[in-house]
Amino acid sequence: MEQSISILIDALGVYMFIGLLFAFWFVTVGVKKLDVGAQGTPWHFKLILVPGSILLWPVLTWKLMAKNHE
Amino acid sequence: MGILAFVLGFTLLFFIGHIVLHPNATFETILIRNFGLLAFLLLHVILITGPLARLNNKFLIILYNRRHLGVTMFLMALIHGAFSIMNFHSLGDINPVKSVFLSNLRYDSLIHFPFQVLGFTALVVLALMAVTSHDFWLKNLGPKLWKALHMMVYIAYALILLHVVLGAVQNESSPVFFGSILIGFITVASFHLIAAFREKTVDMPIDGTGADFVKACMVSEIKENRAKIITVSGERVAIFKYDGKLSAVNNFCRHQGGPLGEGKIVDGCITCPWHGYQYLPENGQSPPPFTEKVETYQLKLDGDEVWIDPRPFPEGTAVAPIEIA
Repeated sequence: MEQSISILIDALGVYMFIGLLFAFWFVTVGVKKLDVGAQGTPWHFKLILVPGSILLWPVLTWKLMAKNHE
Repeated sequence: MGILAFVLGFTLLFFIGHIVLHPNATFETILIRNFGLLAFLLLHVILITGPLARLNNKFLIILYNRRHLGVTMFLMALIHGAFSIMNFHSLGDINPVKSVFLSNLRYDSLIHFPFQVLGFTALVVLALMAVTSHDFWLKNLGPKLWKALHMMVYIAYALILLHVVLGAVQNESSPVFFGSILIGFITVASFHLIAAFREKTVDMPIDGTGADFVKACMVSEIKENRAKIITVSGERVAIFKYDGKLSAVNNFCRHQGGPLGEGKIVDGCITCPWHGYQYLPENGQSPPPFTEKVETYQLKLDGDEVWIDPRPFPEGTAVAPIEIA
């Protein structure tokens, strides 16, 4: 049990690290592809999106891919 | 500003009271207890806001500020959680987050249950809701996913209740403490049950499975520039009367899930009572430049009786309003 919990928490750490990298790309480039309304928005608006991008990067990736296929 | 003043005032009073009653308590202990209690209280306010606003329009003002309350509550919970982890789990050689999960493995014991795991999990749920509270997320995640995500507040509440009760079992013996938790739970549950009961009696759910048209209501039941909300085939639908015409749209506002049928027609548009988002009754579309759309429904009249086709048209589909004779 201890080992399983330990692996799970390590996996969550990896998930968050990927999320962090994704968030940098998303708030600078990706957000404009997903929502044209985000073009030209101030930096503090994009800063608000960082925590959500870290936590929900798989959903955003899926949404961006769906948008590309439209 | 009001929320900040409340938080600062509460914190000041809590610190003074705690120092007087428990002079040996450390600063970290008071801090952890203060922000834990603040988050717990705010969560109760947040949970009863929805039912309260459904029961009485006067409470809509709290509903408008619910997301600010939610973010504030998360920040309070985050401070509580962060200081708890720093205080109890960061002094060893094991990763503090792992320590939360591994320092106590007595999941088979009610008295010694690892209650901090429940609090940590609740914090993750609250984080998901707090970081997606901006309208950007509602628009880009879609209303259904966003709503599902934010309905997880009830999972968070259950986890926090267990976290508080099981934690208190290990450290607290005051009946006042347990009584307060019980009163809080009964208050939340009662308001939800009363609002649900009232909604059910007003809605009169209609089973429209397989039917072309089902009877919805009488024209005389709908006030001018207002709506009658019905539940047909599990969906809440608002039938509006305006300018001698009737139109039906889905009751769920695409902005924050507000009840469109509790709003009114303003300048020819259905206006959500929560944040004023507007839709044209004949096609369910927000007037340009806005892009929100709701589903529309076909109506027909039989004398004074209003009948509705339970199958919705796709969001934003134009449906000619029916003229009231």
